[in-house]
Amino acid sequence: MKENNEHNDMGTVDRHSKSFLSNGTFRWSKSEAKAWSEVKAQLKSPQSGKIIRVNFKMRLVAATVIVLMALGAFLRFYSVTEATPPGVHKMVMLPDGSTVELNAMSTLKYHPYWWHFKRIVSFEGEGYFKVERGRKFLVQSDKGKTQVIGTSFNIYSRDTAYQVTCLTGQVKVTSGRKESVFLNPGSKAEVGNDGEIKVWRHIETDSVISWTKNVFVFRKTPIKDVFREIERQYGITIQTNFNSKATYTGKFTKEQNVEDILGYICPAVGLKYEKKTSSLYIVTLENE
Amino acid sequence: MSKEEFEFLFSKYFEDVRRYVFYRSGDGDVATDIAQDTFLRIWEKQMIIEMKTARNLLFKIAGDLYITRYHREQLAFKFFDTYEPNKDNLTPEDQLNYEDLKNAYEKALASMSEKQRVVFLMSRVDELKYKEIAERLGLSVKAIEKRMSQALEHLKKQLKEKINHIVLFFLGYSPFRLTANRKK
Repeated sequence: MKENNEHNDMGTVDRHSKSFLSNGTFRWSKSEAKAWSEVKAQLKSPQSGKIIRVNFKMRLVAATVIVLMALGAFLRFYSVTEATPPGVHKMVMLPDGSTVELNAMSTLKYHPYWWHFKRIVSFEGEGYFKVERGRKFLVQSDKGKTQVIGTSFNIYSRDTAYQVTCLTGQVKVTSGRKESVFLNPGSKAEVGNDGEIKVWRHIETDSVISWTKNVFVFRKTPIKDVFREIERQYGITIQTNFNSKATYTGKFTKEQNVEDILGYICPAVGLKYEKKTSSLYIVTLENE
Repeated sequence: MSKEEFEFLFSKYFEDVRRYVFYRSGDGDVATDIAQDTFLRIWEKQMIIEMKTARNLLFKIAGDLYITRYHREQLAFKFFDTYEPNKDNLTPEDQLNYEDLKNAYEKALASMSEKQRVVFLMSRVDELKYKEIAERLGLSVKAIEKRMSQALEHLKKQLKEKINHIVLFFLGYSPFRLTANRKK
């Protein structure tokens, strides 16, 4: 009888819970339709991240950072370009007192406000550098770069030629193919077209920088290169309608006029010149 | 998963998932939140879902979400805030004692283990067969039977006083009928 009672109890609970709990009503605070519309709204922007609330202080910090970055970028990338036209030499003073004397038709570019952090200039043409002691000083050109601590040197980087002459201190010359040499005073390096570096030691350096005193010295220089130099120094055009492997050794000063110079160079190498206008000269072989 | 597939899954299973979490938590709002997040998750992860196993997977994700978010919190169990029994089913006497009974059931359900409660409510509220419950929860029919009888045992203890007079009331005409407790 007791067992029966137990069974009856279980049966009663079973039945009672059925009748009490079945067929009721769910009263969700959100209908399925509302739940769907909320979910759907979030589907449209699956990539949108969390919204970060930024308070005033954070905005201020962010603004300051942006301003500083802009200022930094300005200081870093603001550059000054110095260029000389034909016939003009120019002395450029860099922020630390280093100087560059630019020969005619040369270009120098540097970042004045970044100078304190990195002394680096881009350079093409011919220039005589006097570098104050300090951080590494780097001159970059198309065909090579020259690195110094504090010294003076001359760079000639025109057309296919790249020549560096060291006058005082020590410089390091690196070619495009990462070959490099150290130059002591009185040495000259020339980077060939293939990136190979040739070095001459114990050369007479005065003639290399004589251009800074308006004296132009040539030693076994191909004759066409001599005419190119005259073109640059006087701002004229010289047509060279001939083939000649002649070289010229000699010098001229800028006090002389063009006709005087052509007058003594041409006969020496079997050429003659003809003046067309004040800025156009034609040079041909003498026996034509 | 295309948007159409997603919408189809949602309309087919949202209510099931929501109820499942509701039976576990006894909190309608928590259940809605978890169910919504469950669907958002399968969308964000672009899970490949087979229709056959979709409901199982959704239950699994919902259960995991519920555990990671609420297991540490002691949620107040308030089943009857969201679920309203149908008074028409009740005997006149039960209707009189309705509030009392409701409180007794609330307490009994709250103190029941989660596993038993889910099975029990699926059987009582959703009126699912044991086989259907087993499929949804990924369990064997045997396990469902066991949980069900444990749940009834628990309920019997909890409702003893309330049910004693019911027993008397029923004894008169109810035949000897057992559906759940075959073991005894």
